[in-house]
Amino acid sequence: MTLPLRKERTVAAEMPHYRSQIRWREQLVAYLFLLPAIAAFTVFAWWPILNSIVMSFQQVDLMDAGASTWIGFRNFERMFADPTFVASWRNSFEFAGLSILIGFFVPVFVSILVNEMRAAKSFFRIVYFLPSVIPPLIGILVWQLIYSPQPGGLLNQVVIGLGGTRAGWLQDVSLVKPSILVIMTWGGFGATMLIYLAALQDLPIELYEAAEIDGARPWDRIRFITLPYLRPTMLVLLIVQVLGIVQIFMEPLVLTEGGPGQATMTPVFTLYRKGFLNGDYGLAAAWSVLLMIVLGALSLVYLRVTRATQQ
Amino acid sequence: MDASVRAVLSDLEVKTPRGRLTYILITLVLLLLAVFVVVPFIYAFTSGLKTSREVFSATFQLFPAVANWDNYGQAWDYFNLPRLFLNTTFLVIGGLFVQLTVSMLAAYSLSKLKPIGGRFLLIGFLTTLMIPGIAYIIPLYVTAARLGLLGSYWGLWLSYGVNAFMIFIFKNFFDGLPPEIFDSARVDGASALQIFWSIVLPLSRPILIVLSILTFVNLWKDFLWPYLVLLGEPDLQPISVALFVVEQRSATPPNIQMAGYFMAMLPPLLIAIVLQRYMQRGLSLGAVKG
Amino acid sequence: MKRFTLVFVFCLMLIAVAPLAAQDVTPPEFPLTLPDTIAEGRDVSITISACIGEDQEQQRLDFDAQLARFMEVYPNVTVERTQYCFSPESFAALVAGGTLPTVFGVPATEPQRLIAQGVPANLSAAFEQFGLNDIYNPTLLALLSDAEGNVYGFPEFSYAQGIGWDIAALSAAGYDAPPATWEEFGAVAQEVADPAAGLAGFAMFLSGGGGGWHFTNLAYGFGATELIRDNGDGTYTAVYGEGAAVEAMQFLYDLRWPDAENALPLDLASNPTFETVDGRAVMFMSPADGSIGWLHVNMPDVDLTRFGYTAMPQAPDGLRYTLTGGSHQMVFAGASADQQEAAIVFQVWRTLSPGEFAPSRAIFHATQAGAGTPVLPIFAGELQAAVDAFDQQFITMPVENYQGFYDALNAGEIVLVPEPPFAQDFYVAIAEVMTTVLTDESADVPALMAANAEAFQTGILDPAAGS
Repeated sequence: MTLPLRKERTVAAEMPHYRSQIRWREQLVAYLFLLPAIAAFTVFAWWPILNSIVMSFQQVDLMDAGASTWIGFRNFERMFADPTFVASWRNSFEFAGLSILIGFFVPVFVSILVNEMRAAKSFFRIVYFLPSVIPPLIGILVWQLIYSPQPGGLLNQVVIGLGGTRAGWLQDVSLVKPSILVIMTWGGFGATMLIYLAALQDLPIELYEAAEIDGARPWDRIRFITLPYLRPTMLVLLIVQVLGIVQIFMEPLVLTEGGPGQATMTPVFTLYRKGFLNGDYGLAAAWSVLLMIVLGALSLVYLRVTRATQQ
Repeated sequence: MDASVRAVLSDLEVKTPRGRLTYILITLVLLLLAVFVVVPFIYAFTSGLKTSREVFSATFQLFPAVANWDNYGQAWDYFNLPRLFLNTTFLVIGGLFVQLTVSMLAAYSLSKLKPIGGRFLLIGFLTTLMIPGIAYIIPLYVTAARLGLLGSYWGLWLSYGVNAFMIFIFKNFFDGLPPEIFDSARVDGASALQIFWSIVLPLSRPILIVLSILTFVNLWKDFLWPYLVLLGEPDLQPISVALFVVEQRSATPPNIQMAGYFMAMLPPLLIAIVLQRYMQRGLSLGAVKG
Repeated sequence: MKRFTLVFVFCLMLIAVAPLAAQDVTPPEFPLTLPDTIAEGRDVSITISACIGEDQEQQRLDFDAQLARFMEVYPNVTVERTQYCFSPESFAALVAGGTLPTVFGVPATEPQRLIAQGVPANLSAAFEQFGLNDIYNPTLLALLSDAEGNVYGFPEFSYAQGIGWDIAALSAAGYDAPPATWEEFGAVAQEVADPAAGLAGFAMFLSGGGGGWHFTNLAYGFGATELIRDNGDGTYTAVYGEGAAVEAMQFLYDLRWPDAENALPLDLASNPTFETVDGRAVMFMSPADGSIGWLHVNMPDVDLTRFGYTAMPQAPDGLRYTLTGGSHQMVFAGASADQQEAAIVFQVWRTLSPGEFAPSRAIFHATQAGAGTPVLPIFAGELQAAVDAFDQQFITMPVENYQGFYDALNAGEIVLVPEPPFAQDFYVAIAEVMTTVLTDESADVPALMAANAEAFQTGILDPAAGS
């Protein structure tokens, strides 16, 4: 650490004039390098973010932005009164809760099991990872046929073959959320598992050996060593998962149109509908603003947790 | 990494009958899971070989009586897959180039050129990570419309310049490069651009490769924004968008659909298998630093 | 006027080259006088949207040839074709970006919303000038007008919802056509259904936004033509919680339960036309252009003689109420006055002038759901008869299978009803009732409908009042 510092200081000491004279040119160069990023972020992120706040207080006139009228909190009042508002966010909560049951622990345990393998580790790693690399949309289209309520849908064939009765996987209010979460888990657990596996590589084996000497059985070792060791990573990935759940969009768009009933209406899908299908841009912007607040808050929690984890 | 290193179970335990049984059980569970994971791929593949009636026959039958390889040729033409692959490749390569260039230049500046207010800017970039684009998709769309960016690849390429995560990764990487190299080059009179070109770029090769592959796959997977930007331009749509549009607007026989979907999944699958090491490294990059 | 003789000669040459194109049928003549100049000769350029598939190269060329002829007649005007097919998402963008084509096509469901947003130009003066009010079907013009009677669009083609059916399957049960009353219709649907074999008696969209849209049509069919009342003072009342709309929902319930007699498709998300084409449904509800017309253009290998198409069953008053379908042309209000003028003249010239009528019809029949798809009259009275006679040459579909539809049309029974206000929100809301009714045998239909209407009133309509 000290060497480079000293060297920097000597360079600076040797060329004091160079530095002070050229400062503005240096700044110019620095900002020229930054210019593309600043431009891109302004046009495609900062301005739209600010603009959605502005639009949420307006009745937006698409024809003529200047003709948009300020209507105070009207859009927010309409948003809160809309039955779809409660439905969408309740669905998000239910999705999040269910996803913790269905999807969250899968990669944890799979990573522990894969780590146990004495051979073929990389085989499992790559196989589980495969669904993560294909475009989610194509995966969803394939699952649509797997979930077909016809007797000939793959899953129904299997269920009937096992002596059960055919089900409407995406048509039944009580089945549709788990069905969608299975698709999401299928598409994502391989990548998550790799992260856990990477964390497990750093777990000192001596801990297991010491536990063994103390007579801890394998299950106890998992409970008292492996899982606690993974806990910080789990916490981080839990928030990542919730962030993803709040943004569910493609599945309702492709598979359910938000149905059956409003069982798969999600905040993002609703804002998409309000904006693009109803042309109610101000109202959609109000949905955007709330969504940004929720996602921003979750991200702050995430930052907190990661920072705490890294210390 | 693949060596037979012990984990929870010691080598000794695995050799006991009980341990052996546990090990076999674990293997079985993992194999079952592997089957679950690959079933949709295999289902797509074999359904693509069936007749449309066989796909929905009430009895389970993985392979058709006769393999209709013909379906694959039909689906190839029906979805116009060569053009879709070409469109996607063109779109992704352009986006990748823009994203890498914009992010590297910005990161280099933030890390080495000490711009006034750089810290503030970095925070500004990183804030966008907290608010995913989907939350402000409508004003984004309106902005792109007013700038005349809809209906062309430029609307996508330029927007792919926004990736705070990549700026962050590159900045961290540049921060870790020894400062002496830069100082001596500066003393030799090299301009910032020369330093970037002849020192930073070559030094960044490993991370550049990892991030390129990761980004390539991510852009290949992108759907909503390309869908919105290219709605009016069926000739330009990338594969996800085009398959969705066709699925929405027409009655494609299920066997042709599946044949098409299977072929559409192949290139990313191949990339993942061939370049798995890089992909996995890229992933852990995201996990630890994200 | 002199210019028109030129165009006429040009067309004669075309006919000489391609004698099959027009045969000996004379196009109808419309009483109109086109101006000699546009915008007093100032340079104007306009764009025209056209939704012509990429495999229809010939039609694109034909369209462009029309543009070239127009520019010959009016040399100060530059007309360009842009390939554009309507979708709500992209349309909004074009409006916001100010890049909407000067003349654009919109589905028949959109005009009222767009008029309220100020997107299309007011065409009343032009309609007066060219005498178009006497040329077009007044029913359609009413759907393209605001409350004050100003017209905002040129009718292009118009469809109604109706009932299609698999002729072989229905006649196997002894029926020539779907019955005309809802009661009998429901009974036949149950009779021909075979749930164990996955065969539905009657298919329609049953879930999501499509489900809400189709339920609206069903409710109209039962006579509930007003689901959400526009009180005229910026407030709205949900009135679908009682009356015929409830009967329509009960109709669905009765088709679905008890399970053993399920007459609806098992897949609530399926497309009714495709269900029928694939042999999983006997009768289906659909607009003609979205079903048989669509099949004719997009799936030419489907044998259309297998299917019949007729009007919706009758409401208690004997009329057959249906949602509107089809597409109309509008002029962008954001265009300059000169552009609007040129666009209007172009539109009239292309669709009605003596030389252009024939090629325009040819393009229409090749690119849209023409060729015998049952359409509603675009023109007023006698003119439509002349157009129909002219269109005979383009018909390739088995129109004898659609006689029931035309009989109802000629009897004056088909009544077009626009979408209700707050249509998209309504579709979502009512789809929820549909789902309950179709998945829960213990559903209490009247109570569900009443509760839903009340929730819609307090959740959507009241908060939006006055906006």
